[in-house]
Formats: sequence, structure tokens, C-alpha cells
Amino acid sequence: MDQFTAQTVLSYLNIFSLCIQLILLIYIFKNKDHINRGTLSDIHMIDETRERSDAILSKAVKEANSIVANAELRGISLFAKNKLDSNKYGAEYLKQLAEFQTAMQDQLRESLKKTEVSYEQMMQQTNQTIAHHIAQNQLQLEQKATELINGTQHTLNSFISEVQETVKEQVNKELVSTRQYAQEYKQRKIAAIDDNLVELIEKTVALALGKILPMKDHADLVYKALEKAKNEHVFVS
Amino acid sequence: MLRTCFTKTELHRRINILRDFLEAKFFMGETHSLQDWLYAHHIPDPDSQAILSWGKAFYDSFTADNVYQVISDFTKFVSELPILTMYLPFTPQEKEMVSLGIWCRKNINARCILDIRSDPSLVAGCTLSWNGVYRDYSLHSFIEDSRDGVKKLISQYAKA
Repeated sequence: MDQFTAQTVLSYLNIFSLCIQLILLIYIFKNKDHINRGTLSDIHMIDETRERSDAILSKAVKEANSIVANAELRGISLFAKNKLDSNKYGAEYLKQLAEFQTAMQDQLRESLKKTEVSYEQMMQQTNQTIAHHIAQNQLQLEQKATELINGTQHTLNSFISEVQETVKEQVNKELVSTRQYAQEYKQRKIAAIDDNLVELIEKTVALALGKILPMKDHADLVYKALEKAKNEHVFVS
Repeated sequence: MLRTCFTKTELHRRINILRDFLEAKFFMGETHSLQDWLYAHHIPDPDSQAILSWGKAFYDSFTADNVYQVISDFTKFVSELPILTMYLPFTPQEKEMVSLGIWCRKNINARCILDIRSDPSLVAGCTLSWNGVYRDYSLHSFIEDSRDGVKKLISQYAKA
């Protein structure tokens, strides 16, 4: 504040000097004609005026300088005072800062401790929760796995039963058709043998008896045939 | 003639022999007797005996003018006779032929003649054709008649 005051004073002084100079210039310009047209008295007056203004100015300047010097001194003293004050304030500030720091440290320590405690508690809780969740998840997994296994087993059993039934059915069908085919084959073969039975026996007899049957037996068979024909009335006209 | 000839073949053969003799006698100056001529021409005994059994009166009825006419009449007569065609699995001898002929004349027709043909495939028995109707009395027929019995016999063996 005091520093600002010194500076303000200096600035005011500068402004004041400038104003004075300006006034003088205006006066000079205003009175330039007078000065030009002026007489020696005027010149003398001007010179006097100038001397007065110079004196005034110098006096103003001196006062201003003294004021400035005072202001400077005051400013310096104020500055020094401020410096001392600021040092004092600085020291106070540092002291208070240190105290504040200590207090903050203590507070921080306390809050850290509290935080640590609460963190530990939180960690414990979290661990407990996690353990609980893990246990629950494990149980659920086991349950799900058991359900899945049971379901799969049931499905497999059903599938196997179905496949078994299907295979059994197909095998039975195949067996039935095979048996039927075998039966049909047997019947066809028997029918074929039956159809060709006479020829078979005939050829067998021809092979066996063709060269063995004596003439008498042949003749007997011929008479037998003729008798049979007669009995069947073949020879009726 | 029918008393000594029972088959169509025999009849035709013996009529041909008769024609040959008569042609020789009437147109070729044959002077030998029938018996000599038959012997000279190596006619088999059954034919010779059958021809000779027809009698002198039979041969005296032939002349140079009627020989072919009579032969033709004989041929026509033979063709009009009832014929029993028999298929036999063997070639019967003369004796069997005569027996068959006698049986047929006795049981079928007093004037029928036999047409014997050989068919070894018959194996046994015979087949007949009379009045255009064919009848099978061969082994095939006998087995066919006994088919059920044979099947039963075979099935018995099969089960055993």
C-alpha cells in the first residue's frame, strides 16, 4: 500500500509538472502575438514570467523531488518495514505453514490410518465376499455340471434305447425277410424238384435200368400199359 | 394174310416180296417154286414162313394181268385196316411182335395191325396212338400217377 502510495505520488508529481508546462505553453501561444508584437517591456515581462515560471517550476520540481525523495524514503522505509513485515509475515507464514503442514500431516496420518483400517476392513469384506461368491459359484457349477451330466446321461440313454430299438426292429425285419426268403427259396426249390421229379426219376431209372431191364420185363410193362389202356376204354371205336 | 402178319411193316414187306416173286414169275420167266425162290433170295425165315402159309390157292389166283391190280388192292386193304401205333423203348423180336399182335387182335380189333416204332426215351412201358388219339403209358406216366407217393417217400427220407 505504501509502495503504491509512493508511486502514486511520483506520478501525480509528473502529471502536475506536465500540466504546468502545458499551461505555460498555452499561455505562451496565447500570448505569442503579444510576445511578437510586444514591446521590450513585454519581453521583460515575459522574461520575468519565465523566470517566475522557472522558479515556480524549479520550486515545484524541488518540492516534487523532495516529495519524491520523501516518498522514496518513506517508500524505502515502508519497503523495509514491509520487508521486515514480510519477513515477519514470511516467518509467521512459514511457521503457520509448518504448523499447518504438521497438522495436515497428522491429519493425513490419521486419515491414512483410518483409510488403512477401512481398506483392510474393505479387503476383508471383499475377500469374504469373493470367497462366498466363489463358493456359491462352485456350488452352482457343480449343480450345473451335475444337471448337465444327468441330462446328457438321460439323453444318451434315450438315444441308445432308441437306437437299440431301431436296430432291433431292423434286425428283426431283416431276419423275418431273410427267413421268408429262405422259406420261399426252399419252397421254390421243392416246387422245382416236384415239377421235375418225374423227369428226375425217369432219368435216374433210365440211367439205372436202361441197360439192365430184360426184354421180358419190358414186354410185361407193355402188356400192363395195354391192359390199362383197355380198362380206360381207349380202344373203343 | 392177316393171320400171319401183325404189323404194318411186315405186311408191306411181305406184299413187296410177293410182288417181286410174281413179277419174276410172270414177267421174267422165273420157273422156280415160291419156296425155292424165297430161299434163293435169302428171305428171312419169318417172312418166308408167313408167305408160304398163305397157301397155293392164294398164289394160283394171280395172273399176269391181275397181279398189279391185286397187289394194289392188297395195299389199299392194308391202308384201310385199323392201325395201333405203338412206341416202344425197345425193338421187339418176332416172338414178342406176334404175341403183341395176337393180344391186340383179341382185345382191340380182330383186323387191327400194329405200327411199331422205337423210342428209347420212354425207358419202360409204351405210348399208343389209336384213332388219332395219343396216350402215354410209359414210365413217365406211371411215375406221374405215383407222384404223390413218390413225394411222400422223398419227404420221409428228407426228414430222416
